[in-house]
Amino acid sequence: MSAARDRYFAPEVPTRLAALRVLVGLFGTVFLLVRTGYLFDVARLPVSRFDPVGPLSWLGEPLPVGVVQLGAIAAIGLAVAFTLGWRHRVTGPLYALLLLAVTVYDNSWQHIAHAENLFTLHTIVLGLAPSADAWSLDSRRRGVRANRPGPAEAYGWPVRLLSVITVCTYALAGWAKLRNGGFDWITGDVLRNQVAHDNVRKALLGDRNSPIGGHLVQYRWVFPPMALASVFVELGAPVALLGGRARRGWVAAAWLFHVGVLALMAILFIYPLTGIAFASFGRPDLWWERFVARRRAVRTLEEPTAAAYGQRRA
Amino acid sequence: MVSLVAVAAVLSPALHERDSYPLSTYPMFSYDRGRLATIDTAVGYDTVGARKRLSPTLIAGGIEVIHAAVTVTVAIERGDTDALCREIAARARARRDLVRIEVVSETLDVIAYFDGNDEPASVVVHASCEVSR
Repeated sequence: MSAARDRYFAPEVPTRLAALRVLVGLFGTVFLLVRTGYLFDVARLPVSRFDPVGPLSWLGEPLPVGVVQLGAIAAIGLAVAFTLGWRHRVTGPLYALLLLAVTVYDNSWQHIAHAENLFTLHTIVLGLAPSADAWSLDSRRRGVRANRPGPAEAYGWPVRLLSVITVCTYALAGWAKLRNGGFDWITGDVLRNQVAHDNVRKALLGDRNSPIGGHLVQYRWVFPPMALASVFVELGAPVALLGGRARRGWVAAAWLFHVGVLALMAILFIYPLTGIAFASFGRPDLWWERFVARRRAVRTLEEPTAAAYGQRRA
Repeated sequence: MVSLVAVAAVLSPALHERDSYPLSTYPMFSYDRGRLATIDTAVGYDTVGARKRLSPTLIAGGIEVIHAAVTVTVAIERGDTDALCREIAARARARRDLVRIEVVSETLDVIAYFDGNDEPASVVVHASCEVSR
């Protein structure tokens, strides 16, 4: 227990947390830009369709459309500030709060989508954590030395908290399958019927369905192994916290699980599919630094060649 | 302490089994929907009586298909299908080919559907309204 606690609170370099801020911030900026159209559409729906959830469940009626539009535009502005790490102590928590408000409102029209939860929870952690102490306009303003503060506990546990939250959400989804579908979810036709139902519903509601899923539902034997693999990935999520091969293996399996969902049901869980949902399990800061170092090395190799070419021409 | 509170909050929906946002039980795909399923939707008819499938945007005012499905189901549960029908008809004015809208529940074999048997076993019409121009 003590070893786990020591590992959880182990000091970490600030760039790891900063890299996660940049990735999640970029995702949030693009997400908000794309999602704004849908948000504006639903904001105009009749009052009878308004069914507020979560932190907005106290709202008796929808907000004026102008307020929703203003909120969404402000959220996009704050998403850019969050990504750049500008005045993070203020803009970080503000962005987290406004993103939460926007996505809660978005989900308050009789339908809770489950594609935004993890991204929003990650943003809340990063918005409240000191994730802009490196790779940010704040750190640049403070000067070069402050741009790279040393490893600290405050930069470590938020990274691990992101991973723990990710693991919890997958474990909950796995638990829900066994609780609601029983072991029949694995051994029976529950998944096959789900895939068929989802694709038929899309066809009947004028949306694009998956030809792969439609074809595969003809083969009953395909589904129990896929169901077992799904539950294995979801309930087995805690192994990712062990690190090493277990972590890499789980991340790869979870990503493939979402590829499978996309192929069989044409459902795009964009946050995990981009890999950003799993970035806290890796070292995006090191990947970036290696990428930059490689580019520098290539440029250094190219420069003498260019100079020599210039000399020969002269 | 902050971490413990955060993790407890994320896991808390499992205790009371209530789906919400941003804290969720993640119940998607978990229920057995059965092979014979009833799907609530809305359809349009043209001047010669041919049935036309409508888009999620026409049905519910947004691009999300599940939002459209839930909207129709909730309207049926609340006995509010006349209002939904009129709402869809108002959005359908731009579609010159549509003259009538119906809010329906179609029951069909979802496996057989992909084997060429795509006609519903039964259709219940909850509301019908004209597309006025």
